[in-house]
Amino acid sequence: MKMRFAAIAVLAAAALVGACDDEDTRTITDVVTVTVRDTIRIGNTTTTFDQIEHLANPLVNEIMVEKREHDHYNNTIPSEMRAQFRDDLVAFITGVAGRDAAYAGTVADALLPDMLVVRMDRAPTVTAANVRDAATVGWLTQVLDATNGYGGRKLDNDDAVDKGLGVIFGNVLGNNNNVSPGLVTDNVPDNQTDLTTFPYVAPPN
Amino acid sequence: MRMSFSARRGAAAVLLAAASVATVAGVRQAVGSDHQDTPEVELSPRLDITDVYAFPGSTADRIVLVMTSQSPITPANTAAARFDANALYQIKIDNTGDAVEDLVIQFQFDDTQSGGQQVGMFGPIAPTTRGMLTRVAKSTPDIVGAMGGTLTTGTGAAQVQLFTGPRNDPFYVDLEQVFRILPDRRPARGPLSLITKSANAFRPANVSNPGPFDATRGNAVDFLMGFNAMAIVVELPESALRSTTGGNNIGVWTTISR
Repeated sequence: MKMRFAAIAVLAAAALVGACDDEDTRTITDVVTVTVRDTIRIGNTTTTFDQIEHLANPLVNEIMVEKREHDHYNNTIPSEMRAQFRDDLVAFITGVAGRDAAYAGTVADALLPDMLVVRMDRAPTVTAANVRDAATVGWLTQVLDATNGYGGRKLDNDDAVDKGLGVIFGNVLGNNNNVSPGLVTDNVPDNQTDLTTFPYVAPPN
Repeated sequence: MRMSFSARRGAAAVLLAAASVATVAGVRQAVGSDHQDTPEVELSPRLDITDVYAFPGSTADRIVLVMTSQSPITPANTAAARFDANALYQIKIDNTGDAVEDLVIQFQFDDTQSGGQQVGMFGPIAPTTRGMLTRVAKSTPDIVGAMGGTLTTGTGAAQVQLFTGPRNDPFYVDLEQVFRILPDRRPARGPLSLITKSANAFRPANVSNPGPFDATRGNAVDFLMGFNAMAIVVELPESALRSTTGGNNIGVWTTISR
């Protein structure tokens, strides 16, 4: 990136110099075609990359954190997330959803630090061939079934929107105080198009 | 901490906008469970992660990790869709319970003369640096080949499979109604930014007589039906992700850096 900007800047400077020194006032009509190659190559271990995006649990940053904080969230390592964002999640769940503070804390602690938790020794008979019917595998199953839940997130039969809404507005994590029945599902069904063999995600439309 | 990051990122977004005026007109809305969550990635959809999945693989001792980005890509634009050749895509794994990455799987893309892309995958490997600033952990990729298909390394139980390229976006949501209920989370541009009618409930799956337009009526709509995403799919042995002491609990997250 830096090399690209530098190259353009040099060209612009050259054009200016050319115009100023042009004693017979010709119009400069030459078109210079320059192919600027990116400087980053696969396996260049000297380039430092700066993180701009983070994603693990669906909908946490998008829905529960205020938009002005999204950049900050994307720039936070998971180990810092409880300290930095637990209050934001609690504020959303108490303020927007109207739940009590104790429940809001339970939800925030289930979602932060924002990683997809996988307990790899669980669900020992489940493979990609039968995962869509495995109730112990899927988003938040490690919380909902503390004994057998594998966690992770499935492509099919794992309605993250309805689960997320059910946690925030419903009784998915075991609290019936002040639930909002109109907000616990978006009424969009699973499209169930994904594959049982690699690469699992359905071909493009 | 918060202020300095926000201010720095704000400045970066302005610079990005100024540097890419020619491409702004063609920007699409990126939508997923974390769609266009900041103006910066709204302007650069290739830098926008949209969903992350993790589930058991072809045998019980294998695991699949999926990272989708850039959704929604229309079918007409799918053949031309590419990953960002200046970005570093990463799947990060904590296997010691401290929410700091112990292993990373890194992906880089390079544009080829014929208009395609090469992908290089590094890891799982211990990162050279942890946190916000990262480098590629080694110079020789573990897998390298053409974007758009399946690549492998190793054989039998130790085999690692990699797919990179356009796939159907597996996410489904009535996003229009989400932004009626939470209008302050709307994107800054595109059709979803124009939603004004507010609502306090989701739409039913089926309405026999919706009557005059009302944001609370009409059928729920899967906003992502028929759209595509750029997917990175890795299947590998669970043993490649376990801690040195054999711990089975991992935390998985994905990042894009540039």
